[in-house]
Formats: sequence, structure tokens, C-alpha cells
Amino acid sequence: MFEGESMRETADFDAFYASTSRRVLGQVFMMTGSRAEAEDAVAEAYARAWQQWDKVSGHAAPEAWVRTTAYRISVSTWRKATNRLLAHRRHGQADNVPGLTPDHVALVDALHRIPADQRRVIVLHYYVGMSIDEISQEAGSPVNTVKTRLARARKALASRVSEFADESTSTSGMEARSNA
Amino acid sequence: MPDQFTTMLTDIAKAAEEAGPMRASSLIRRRGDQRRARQRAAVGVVAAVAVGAIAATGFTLGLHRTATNLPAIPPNPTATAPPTATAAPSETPTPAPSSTGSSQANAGSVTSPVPGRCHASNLRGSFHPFEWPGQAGAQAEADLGLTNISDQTCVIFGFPGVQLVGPDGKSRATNVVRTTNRPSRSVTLTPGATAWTLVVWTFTPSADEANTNPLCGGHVNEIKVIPPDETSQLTVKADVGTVCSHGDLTVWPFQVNRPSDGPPPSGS
Repeated sequence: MFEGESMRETADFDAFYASTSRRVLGQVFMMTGSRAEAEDAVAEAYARAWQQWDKVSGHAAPEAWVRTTAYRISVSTWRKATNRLLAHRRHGQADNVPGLTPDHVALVDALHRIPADQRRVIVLHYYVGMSIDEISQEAGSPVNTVKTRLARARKALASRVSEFADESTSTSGMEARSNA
Repeated sequence: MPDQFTTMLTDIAKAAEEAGPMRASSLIRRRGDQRRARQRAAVGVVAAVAVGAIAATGFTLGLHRTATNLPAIPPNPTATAPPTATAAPSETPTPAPSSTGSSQANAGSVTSPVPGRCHASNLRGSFHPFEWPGQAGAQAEADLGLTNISDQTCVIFGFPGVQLVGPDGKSRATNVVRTTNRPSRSVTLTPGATAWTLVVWTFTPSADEANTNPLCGGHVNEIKVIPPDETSQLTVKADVGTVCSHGDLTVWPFQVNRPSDGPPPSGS
């Protein structure tokens, strides 16, 4: 590789990392429920992106590539096994994100109780703002699978998130608090 | 549209984003460079093993872990293909050993309304490594096909048993893990048809394998496959290469379509 090309690639990557990594961290945190886990997975995903930067930089959506990779890393059972010890040590320290209200913490807890694939769909749909089709593409799952996961996640969260409760009943709790 | 929910998610994500500094980009790049170097080292070891396999084997024997979920496969000299480390994934794989000649036993009966199970002697295996576009890589995948070489329709249902074999003809540590998130379905094979499964393995060493020589027990260029519910094995030339993670192989149940034609699995 030529020196100039290598420097340009480095600058490209650094700019990509600087402009996207915080956002991806927030998204992956929502998918994992642990900041330490998310931080590790995101760092590893960007390292892999750099490892094959010529390919990833030419990808239609490099940020989605990194997010998908980070998600896969975070749910990989293989990684969980090797990091169990580490995670154990960290528990209760780094995972405390300052600035969260009790409502926030309750929602993080509720999200943590649903399966990872459902949580991922919830985050991509309601936070990242992706359509069902887009999620289907990113997750490599059929549209119907995405719909099912979303419906199950909504149902599981219904007690916690009034907006997901039965359509016929008017929302109260969270709405009221937000308007106050 | 639950806007309030979205707002809460946004607040939480923002708090997580701001909770600490991001790692320096240079550190991330160094980690990527290290990964690249490790991968190159793995490839180098594969090449070295391919050349000098015999010298390497003495050491690897101590590292073997026995397969936990498939019957031990005794060495089967008659079924073993000559070791050729350079073999590319081939469209014309090793023919299955047909020592019994029993495959044609039912040829006389015109129609059998319920096709029976596919027997090992009526199947031929083939192994095709591939890469899903956009997939990051500590893992490698391959389509594993079993083709019905008899003139009778038969049925395959379930998972394969797999044993990794090196160029020296010796078994390598193998631990077959059956994926839990795909349902098993019967695959009916007319003569000449193929049932497919996916095999996934890790080619970068885990912490306790980093200093193994040859890396992770050495090169694998052949697999023994036991069809579902069968007891005898097929030998399949398979350019597997380095298998780390103590020989962990994740396998899918057999299906009609080639896994590489579908989307990559999400999650694990």
C-alpha cells in the first residue's frame, strides 16, 4: 500500500469514527443494556471495520455495518463465555449511567428483560427510526419475523410503556408525566 | 406512534453516550491492525502446516478434545481420501465409499409410498466455503451438502455429525454445536438432489489458544460427516483451514436451500 493512500485511509477512518462512534455506542447500549458491554462491542466492531477498511468504507452504509457488527459481537455466546469473568467484575460499576431518572432506569430494566433480538428491533424502529423493511435488511431477517419481534416486544413492554398498552385504553402514566 | 417512548429511548441513549469518553481512534486502529496481523499469522501457519504436516502432528495430539455430542469415529483407512492440502472446494467431491453395495437392494420395487431415511452409503458429501457480503470476520462459513446418489427417493431430517480431520489423516478436536434457532424440517431427496446445512467455525484463536503451535491444533482439510440418525460416516474433502475455539462448529439442521443463498443469521 502506498504511503499517501494509507494516510488518506487513516484520516477517513478517524473522521468516520469521530462522527459516528458515540451515536453507535448509544444505540448498542440500548440493545445490550450494559454500557461496558456496549463499549467493548463498539470498539471491537470499529477495529474490525479498520481491519477491512477498503471493503467497509465502500459499503453503502458503513455506520449500519458497524452497528450490526457490534450487535453481533455483543450477543455472541462465544464472546459472552470469554468475558463472563470480566463482566462479573464490572457489574454494578460501569453500568451505572449517570443522569438517568428512575423512569429511565425502569425502562432500561424492562428492555433488559426481553430477548436481545426483540430489543434490537425495538431500538432500530423507535430510536434509530428505521422502517420494518430497513430493519429486515439490516438484521437479515424476513419482514414477518421483524413484525413478530416488534409485536412481541411491544406486548412485553406494555405494562411499562403505556403507549404500547391496549390501543382502546387511553394512555395515562408516561404521557401525563411528560406533559407536566 | 409512541413518540414519548422514542423520546425516552433518546434520552437514555444520550445519557449513555455522554457517560464517558470515547476511546481514541488510534487505539481502535491499532486493535484492527493487530487483528489483521493475527489473521495473517493464522494463514501463514496454515501454509506451514500444509507443507510440513507430519512434523507438526506430534504436538497437536495433546491438545485434542474429544467430541462430546457425536459418536467417536474410528479411523477408517478405506474411506479416507489421500491428503491434499491444496484442494480447493470442489464441485465434484470425494465419492462416498460404497463398500456394501446395498444401495440398490430395493431397486426392484416400483414405488415405495413413504420414502425411507437416507443412508450414508447412498449419499455423497460436498463442502463449499463462502462469505456473506458485509459480514465481519472472526468466523467462517461453509455450505455442507449431502447428495442422494442412489436411484431411490429418501428423506433427511436433522443435524449432521461432523469430525474434523487433518492432512495427516488424524482427527482434530471437534465440538459440534447444534443451532437452537432454526427448526428441523424433513428434506425429501429425489435421486440426484442435495440437502444443505451450514457449518460455522472461528478462525482466530481465543485467549488460551494464542500460543498454540500449530495454531489451534493445525490445518483441517477433510471432514467426516455422519448423516442424521446414521452410524456410518462419509469422508468429504473440505478446505476448512484453521479451526479455533477448541474445534467448536455450529451446524444448522439440513434444509432444502443452500444457506449461502439466504441471508446471514442474525445474532449468534
